[in-house]
Amino acid sequence: MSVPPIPSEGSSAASEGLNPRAPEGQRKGLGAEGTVYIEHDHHELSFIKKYIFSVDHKMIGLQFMFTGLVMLGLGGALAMAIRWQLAWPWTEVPVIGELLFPATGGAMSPEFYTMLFTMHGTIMIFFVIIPMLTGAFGNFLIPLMIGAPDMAFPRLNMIGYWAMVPGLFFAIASFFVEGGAAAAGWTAYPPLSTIKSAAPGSMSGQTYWLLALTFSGISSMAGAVNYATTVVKMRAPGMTLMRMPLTIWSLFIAALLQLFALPVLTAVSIEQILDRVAGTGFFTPTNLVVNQVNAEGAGEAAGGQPLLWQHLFWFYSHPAVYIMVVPAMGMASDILSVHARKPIFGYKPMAYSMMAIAGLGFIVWGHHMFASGMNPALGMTFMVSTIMIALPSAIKVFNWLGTLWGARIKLTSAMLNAIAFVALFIIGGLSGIWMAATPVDIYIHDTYIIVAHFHYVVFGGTMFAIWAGIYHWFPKMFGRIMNERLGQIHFVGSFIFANCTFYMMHQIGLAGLMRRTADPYAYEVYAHLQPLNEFISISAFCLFFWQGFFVFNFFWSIFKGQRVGRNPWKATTLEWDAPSPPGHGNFDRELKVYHGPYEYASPLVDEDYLQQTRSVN
Amino acid sequence: MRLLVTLLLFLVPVLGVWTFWTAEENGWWMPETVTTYGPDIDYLFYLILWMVAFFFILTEGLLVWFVFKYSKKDDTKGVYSHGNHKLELLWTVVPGILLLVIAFSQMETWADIKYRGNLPKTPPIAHVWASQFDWRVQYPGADGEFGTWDDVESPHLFVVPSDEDVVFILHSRDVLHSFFVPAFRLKQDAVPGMAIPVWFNVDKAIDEEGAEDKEAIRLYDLICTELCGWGHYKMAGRVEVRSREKFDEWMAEQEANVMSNGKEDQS
Amino acid sequence: MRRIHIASLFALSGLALLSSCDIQAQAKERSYGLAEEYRFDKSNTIFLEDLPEGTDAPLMGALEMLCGTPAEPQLMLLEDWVDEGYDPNFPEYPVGDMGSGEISEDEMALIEEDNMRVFAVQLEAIAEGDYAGVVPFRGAPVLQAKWDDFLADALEDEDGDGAPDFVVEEDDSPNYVAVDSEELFREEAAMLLIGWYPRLVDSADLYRLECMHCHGNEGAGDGSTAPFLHPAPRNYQPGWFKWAAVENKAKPRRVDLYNILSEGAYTSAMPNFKRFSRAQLHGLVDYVRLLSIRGETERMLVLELDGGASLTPALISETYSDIWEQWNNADERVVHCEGDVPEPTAELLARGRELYMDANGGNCYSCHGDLGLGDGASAWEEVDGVSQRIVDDWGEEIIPRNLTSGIYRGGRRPIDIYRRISIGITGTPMPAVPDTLTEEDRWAIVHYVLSLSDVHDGVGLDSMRMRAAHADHSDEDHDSEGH
Repeated sequence: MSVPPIPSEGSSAASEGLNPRAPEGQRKGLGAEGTVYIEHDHHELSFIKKYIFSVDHKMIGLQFMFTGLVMLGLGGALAMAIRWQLAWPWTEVPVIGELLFPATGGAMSPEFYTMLFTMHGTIMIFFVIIPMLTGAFGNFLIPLMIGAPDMAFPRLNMIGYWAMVPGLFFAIASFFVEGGAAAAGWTAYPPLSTIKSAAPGSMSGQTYWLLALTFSGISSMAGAVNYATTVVKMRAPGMTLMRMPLTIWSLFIAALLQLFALPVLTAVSIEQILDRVAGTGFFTPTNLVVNQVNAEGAGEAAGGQPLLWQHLFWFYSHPAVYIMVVPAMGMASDILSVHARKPIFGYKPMAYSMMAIAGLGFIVWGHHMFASGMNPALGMTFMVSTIMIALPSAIKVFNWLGTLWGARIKLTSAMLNAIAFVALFIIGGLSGIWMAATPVDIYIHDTYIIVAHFHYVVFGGTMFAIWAGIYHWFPKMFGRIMNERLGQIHFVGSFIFANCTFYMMHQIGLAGLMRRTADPYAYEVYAHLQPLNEFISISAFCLFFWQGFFVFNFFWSIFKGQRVGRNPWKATTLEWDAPSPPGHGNFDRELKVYHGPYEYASPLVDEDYLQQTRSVN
Repeated sequence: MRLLVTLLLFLVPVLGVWTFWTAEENGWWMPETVTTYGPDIDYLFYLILWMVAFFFILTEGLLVWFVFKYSKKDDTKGVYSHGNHKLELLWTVVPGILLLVIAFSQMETWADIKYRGNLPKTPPIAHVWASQFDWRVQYPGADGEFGTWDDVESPHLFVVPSDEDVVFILHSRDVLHSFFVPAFRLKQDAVPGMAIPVWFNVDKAIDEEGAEDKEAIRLYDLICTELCGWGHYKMAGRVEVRSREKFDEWMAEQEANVMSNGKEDQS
Repeated sequence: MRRIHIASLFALSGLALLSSCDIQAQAKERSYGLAEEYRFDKSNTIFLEDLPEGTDAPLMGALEMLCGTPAEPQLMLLEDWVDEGYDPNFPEYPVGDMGSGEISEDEMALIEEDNMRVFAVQLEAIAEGDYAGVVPFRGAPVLQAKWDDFLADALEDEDGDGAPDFVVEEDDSPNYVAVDSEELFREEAAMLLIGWYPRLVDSADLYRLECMHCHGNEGAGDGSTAPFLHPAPRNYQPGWFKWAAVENKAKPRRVDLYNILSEGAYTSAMPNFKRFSRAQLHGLVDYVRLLSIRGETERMLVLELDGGASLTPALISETYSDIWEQWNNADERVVHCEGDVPEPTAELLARGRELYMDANGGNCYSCHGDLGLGDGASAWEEVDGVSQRIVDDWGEEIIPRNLTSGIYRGGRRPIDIYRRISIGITGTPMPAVPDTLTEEDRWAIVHYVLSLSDVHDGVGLDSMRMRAAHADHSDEDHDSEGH
């Protein structure tokens, strides 16, 4: 068979995404290395098949991304209301005050506040961070970075996205049911969450919440199965495991975490649903009466334990935080390497430490429960494992620093955000050591120090990594580049305001202020914290509105951004081999991998980067 | 851009340390502790604080320096290094040892405070009830038995003697709550269906001048630290620490109040 | 300068500016509204919309004249009060024999002692001469304003010697005197705080922060949280208060309302508010009294309007005055007990059981059940062939207390139970025991009832109660406590 030349960029064949080199009718073969999926005929996909019910991993990735960004706005708005209340409790809330609370002159009610922080946490974790990192980046990057034409199970992949949508529906609809949205915290501890009379949100909103989580879980499972299979089975020839970019390692590890941990969450959510609607009593102790309502009335069962929920919930939810942070670490590693023009320092330790974090992550869940009333001996064991999990994270931090040493750093928007990831992850990780120390946790548990800690790792860590990822891979997604000036402006403001918002929460927590409090100043002893809370709230408002730069940049650049070629960053990994954006089948030539993913500053070539697919003899 | 970014990154450790350094005088710090095990917890806190501060300044400092130094415009290639085995060993073993040291130093204090076997042998002084949204303390009353008609019920106020081991049993009437007294370094969740024994011993009394005043009646905030519903934020209580003599006086007053026939408040 | 530098300077200066300007976030001004319906008992309800046209405005006007607005609550003075120099808006200065509503000297002494604890930080600052460093007072805008004025007066430097004059001119309000030296000033400043009694404005603000979301703007028990609470928060407007030591449906004494605020109604959503100072609690009692008077005046006027009367000044002031009198005379309706609390002997308990089960005696079993579990037959009634729970005067379903639980909302002392059975519970189907029962009989019932929740003798089967701790502190799962 003759080999036509590689089509140049801009030619219709390449942009159509068809592989002109493939013989007609050749079908894809799973497991046969080096095979490429071929569109078996040349029909144009309908709008629905191309943009709505697409089976193309890139489109699905973008669907996750857009949905995630919208939910980020919603979650952020909820946070704004929370911050208003904490700075100026019981005053007229802007925008929504008069609308929702005319009788009190616009001041929100205490039960509304409980709903705010519950839904803020839930939306951010299950509908923003996990979909953006594993759904958007996982989908988009995995086949591209390992040289596969698509995921192993494209239709399952599509189901993965669309299974999340009912979850979104339930989450948003829960605000409008009687009693309002769930109000038992994103941790949903029973009996507050299971007994309908315990809180207004526990009437119907909590059931909607559980359904939202269940659908989100189905979505994640579908994705996890896909990612694991694809990474194991569909790597291009020469792409050994130890030549995979750390982003892929991280997404693969996160997928394994999902596979093993998520079923537990699904099971325990179903138990709670049953407790709420079917009269079971998994979590209901005997003779429980809440708010004048006997939990055992009308034939409902009891004899359960509230602590059972805590154990099972945290068995998933602790690995969940690693599901969030490990892909962020992987992406940050890649971005640092590319823009520092230097190999990752300690590739194998980096890969192994992510595995260690994931593995240890399964045996630390009890650190959320030190004060819970569980057997104190368990506190000892969980303490040791939790303190040890700081070690692989520390190793990673040192390796990132090693990557920057002797580098040739280009301070692009992507790089700025990746550096910020390192700086802020350090803070979040170090504060975790206090919490791991059980006696110290006696003081710290359920205070604002915890809030500071997780916001540093989730916002300072994963959010900055998401921004870095978007700036970095936007050219590959859309064939255009985001505006660099706007990106820098966005970075500077976000960095300043994020730190101003979250750092002082350490101090507030040290003073002893508890979490989830609608009015910190109900205690005289915390009255002096009001100026600090005001400062934090104003920073938070600035942070929220500053994202306008990003939103504008993102959408404007999709249509009007400067066009770029395949490899604007001069990176080495496989995705930069494909056209920008890649078409069906991703690559327009056969791939073979010759090197590791971080061959920057290589002495073998003149350029400061050596692509994985480039052979040097 | 380079200078600005360096400055921003530099501010992180600088302001980060400064806020902790000035925290106490600004009132952003833990209250002084008054229990026997409070100083043990504080010691562990400071142990971790110093180690964390060291690594914080080290890593952030290196980050600032590297970003500054290596973002200078330079067309040559960077250092082609895939890592350094010795360094990897160093920064695995050293933090590993430090972390294990931290872990092992916690164990005795934790066992002392929480292990059932280490509970003081004194009989419980009260049953403390958490409910939506109220703390209530039940003392045994004149007959010395809990659960009889002459029990003394004290809403909001948990009065205890100082310089003695105090044991109480924590209950919840409905949902999860948590008993937190910051000055005692004491926290325990109240779980419906469980009766959890808790102990403390207040052996310090610091009055306004910082002097020891064992005769003063000291008040400490009791805070609910487990979300229990819309009223979680106002579920306040107070622990009142009195000398044993004054405690007995108070208890006698309460017991007399239980036996009241209503005459005294009929004015 | 590069744009990026400008942008970050902008960000920083914006933040600094915002942080420094004091965002005066406020709650919008509210006004008292009219209720939509007025319940007088199970069968008599008057709807506002059914009244003659144009009733609303004059009614609102009349009520505003009598009781003010949330921003400026004030009880209107009646003519004879003015003559006597009496003003209910200053209950800490009772004039002559003004009855049960006002603060006695002993109580004022206790308030002052408590104020010393509450304002310890401010008093310390005053003692050190650091007047500017006196921390603002939360929930006491009038006190704050008074302090600010007082301080401004004292620190003026009219004689131009570079030092504050410490001169405060006397003015009308009771606290002020002419002060003319720093030492005297310090004393007066301290007394300002120690002798502080909240004005209705202060209490209205505290009510807004702490009570309104359940009890509602007008005290009608219709706050935003109210629909989710069982039992519902008290509606003050009928003037019925359950847990008072006065006769059934009589107005409560000051100390009764104070006790409810301070102790709470246990296991209902009404928590104890002991974290407030005595002064604040008394202030809230004043404000609740105002809301109740306003509400009841509104209801009585509506009743008159429904009967065809017209809103004349005479009618308004007569209605208001009648209601006020009832509050003032609450003391005269206290339910007494002469003897001391007896010991619960076996005979007394047996007598108590006998009376408990006697339909002509206490008749307790009919609602509270043979074993005291709250499952008596009279707790249910047939309405249109359907059996449903009986309803109280506020329209809510009522469940007889499970006496084995040890929960007594009106207080758990023997005298509290004694009063409970001697009064019944206002507004509920719980009646008083017959007048024929002697004091001894009543104590028998009291002790029998208390023994039902007594863990010691094992009575009460699946009750939710507290167990004595075991000697070895084993933490086997105890039955959890319910209500």
